[in-house]
Amino acid sequence: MDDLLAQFVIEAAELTQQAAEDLLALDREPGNRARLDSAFRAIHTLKGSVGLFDLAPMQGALHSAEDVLGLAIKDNVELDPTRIDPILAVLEWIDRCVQQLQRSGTLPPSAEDEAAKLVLSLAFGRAAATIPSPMAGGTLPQWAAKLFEANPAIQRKGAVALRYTPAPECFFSGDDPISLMAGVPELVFARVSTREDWRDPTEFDPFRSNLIFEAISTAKRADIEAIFRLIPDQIAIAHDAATDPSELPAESQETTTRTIRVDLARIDGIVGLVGELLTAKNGMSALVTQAQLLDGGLALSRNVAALQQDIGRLVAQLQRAATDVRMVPLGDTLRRLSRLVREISGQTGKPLQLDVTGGEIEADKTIVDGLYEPLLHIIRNAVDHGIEPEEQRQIAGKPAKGTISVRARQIGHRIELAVSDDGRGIEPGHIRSTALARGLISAEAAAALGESDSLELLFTPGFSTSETVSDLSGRGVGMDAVRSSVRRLGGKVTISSAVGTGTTIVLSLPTSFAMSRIILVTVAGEQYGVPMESIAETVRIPASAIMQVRSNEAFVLRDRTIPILRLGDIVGSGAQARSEELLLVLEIGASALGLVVDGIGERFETLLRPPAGLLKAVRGILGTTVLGDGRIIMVLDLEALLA
Amino acid sequence: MTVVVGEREIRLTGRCGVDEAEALLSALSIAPQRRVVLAAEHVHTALWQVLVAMRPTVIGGAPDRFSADYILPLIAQKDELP
Repeated sequence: MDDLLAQFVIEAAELTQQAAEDLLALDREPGNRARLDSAFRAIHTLKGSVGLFDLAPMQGALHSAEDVLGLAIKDNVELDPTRIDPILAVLEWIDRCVQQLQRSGTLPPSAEDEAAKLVLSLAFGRAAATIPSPMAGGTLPQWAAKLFEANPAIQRKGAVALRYTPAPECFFSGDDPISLMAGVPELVFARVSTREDWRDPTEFDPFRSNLIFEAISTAKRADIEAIFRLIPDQIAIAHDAATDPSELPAESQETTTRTIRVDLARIDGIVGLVGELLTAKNGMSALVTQAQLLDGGLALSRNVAALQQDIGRLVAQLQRAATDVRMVPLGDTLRRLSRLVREISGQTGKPLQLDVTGGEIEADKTIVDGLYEPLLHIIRNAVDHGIEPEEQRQIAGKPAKGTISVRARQIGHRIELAVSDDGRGIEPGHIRSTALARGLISAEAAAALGESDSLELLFTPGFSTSETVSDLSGRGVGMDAVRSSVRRLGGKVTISSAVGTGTTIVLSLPTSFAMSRIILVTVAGEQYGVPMESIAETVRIPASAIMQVRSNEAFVLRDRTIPILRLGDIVGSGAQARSEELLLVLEIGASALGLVVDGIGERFETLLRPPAGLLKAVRGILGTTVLGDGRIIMVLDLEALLA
Repeated sequence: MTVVVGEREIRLTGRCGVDEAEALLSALSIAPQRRVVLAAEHVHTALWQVLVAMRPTVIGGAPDRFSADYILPLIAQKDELP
């Protein structure tokens, strides 16, 4: 089933439920305005969702139901209780339609008539509300109903009844009714009767067919129809429409209960508990050490260690399971982009087309939701600065329609989203001169910048190359905003561009950030956590290898000059002079940076809690985590601290 | 000929087409006590109708499951059809 339809099925069930509850409450207390509003909203929303699909009968019925409620709201009167039943009938019918949609993807042909009857009943109130519910089995003609009644042992669900009345002269057309009947697959019952009593042998015409066949088969309706396709006038086929076997995908009857919606906070509660379990397990390491120190405690320590390993394995499994619950497909966000691109195309007058691949890849819900904003900025920038106006594209020999492609792929535990346009690309020289003009870099620095470093300037806060401020990209929502929102999700942004052929921006994000690899660092006696993913390597260098470059420091690593910062300076505790310095080498975008720390401690995997309360306002804190001994450690967002 | 009329029995063999119905009817009309031996690989509805109407003693097997389950019992039953 189409993703959108699958979502609709879930949503529709909730909305009909909500509306029905409201209506039943209104039946008890007709003056309850809040319930009336709520029912109206539910039906209104449902109508809106139905509008996304080609479901005119459902739309019509909902529209009429909405009208009835809307009128009561508008006139500020109590809803006439006689109007409630017909609306409930509409909701029930919608529920059945949705179930049918879920099974077969289409509405039954009878839906239009049923909707018309419901609309009538809404107009007339209770009197006409006794709509037969054909989809629940009422479509069976009398003969078929009798046939099923005569065979109560046969499951009606999925069974097809047929009544074959061969024309008297059918033998002359080459028909052989019994052999046709013999060809009906999966026959579970049949009876043969005669059109008229057998005559005396002297009057009996052997060339006149006198038989009538009735049967029940569990085969697909289509297969049975195929057998009798040449004699549609002599055959009647009926089945319980609600359970049409030809339209039922296997196991479909279970699908209704396959999903439940759960408040995200509850899931996060579970994820949080798993994190604490992880911490508690880590705490057992201390027990192992303690046990070792006991007299003859070696065996005990081994046992505890083994147990810790077992618990560790289980916790890891539990954690994976809990993390999986939060996974949603990227398609949820990517689908919204096509509407955005259509909108931008209209605003700019640039014809655009959007290619999206990889929507089925899953990531944590927070990441998937958080991707929309950066993607929106990237696409707006691409249209504004990248995609040329139609005339220019034609001169350049490009298709008139600008293409923006969003390609998602999964690489291990990360997802990579490449957003490319086929526009004019970015001229590094242009970027340098703009940065220079804006006072973002010095002339010498500009001259020394290579191509990829020049493109990095785009991510500098306050950078905007557009001469005119457009409606779309505007000011202030530059690439720096993109980088910082992606970084908040634990991701990285890189850019590459070829002049004349387009620009590609790659977002690399974790699929879930429930689990982070952290390394403990010590600065001036304080311990901080640093995410491993931002650390390229750790090096020890003699203090003498640190060069003074004006007021800054730098060192050379494998022929590369890397600037140095002291974490102590950043967190506000001075450093003492040492003969040897310990550095974390960080890769931020295309540039590297050495960060001086006093010491490096344990590395471990942990569940990072996003900063809450007061910490939320502090820049440069990625979150907190609890150590095995119960101490709480702040995990630094180095890239934000150094920006 | 797929309908072979003998002294005491009528044998249906091979593929018994609609054109044999009359021969079968007349053979059974003349001597209703003749038994019918089913040994055919196919029997047309017209012949089955004759058997159902005349109800001779039938031995042998029906060529397909449907005739065996639902037609042979009609021939064997003593009461009139509804």
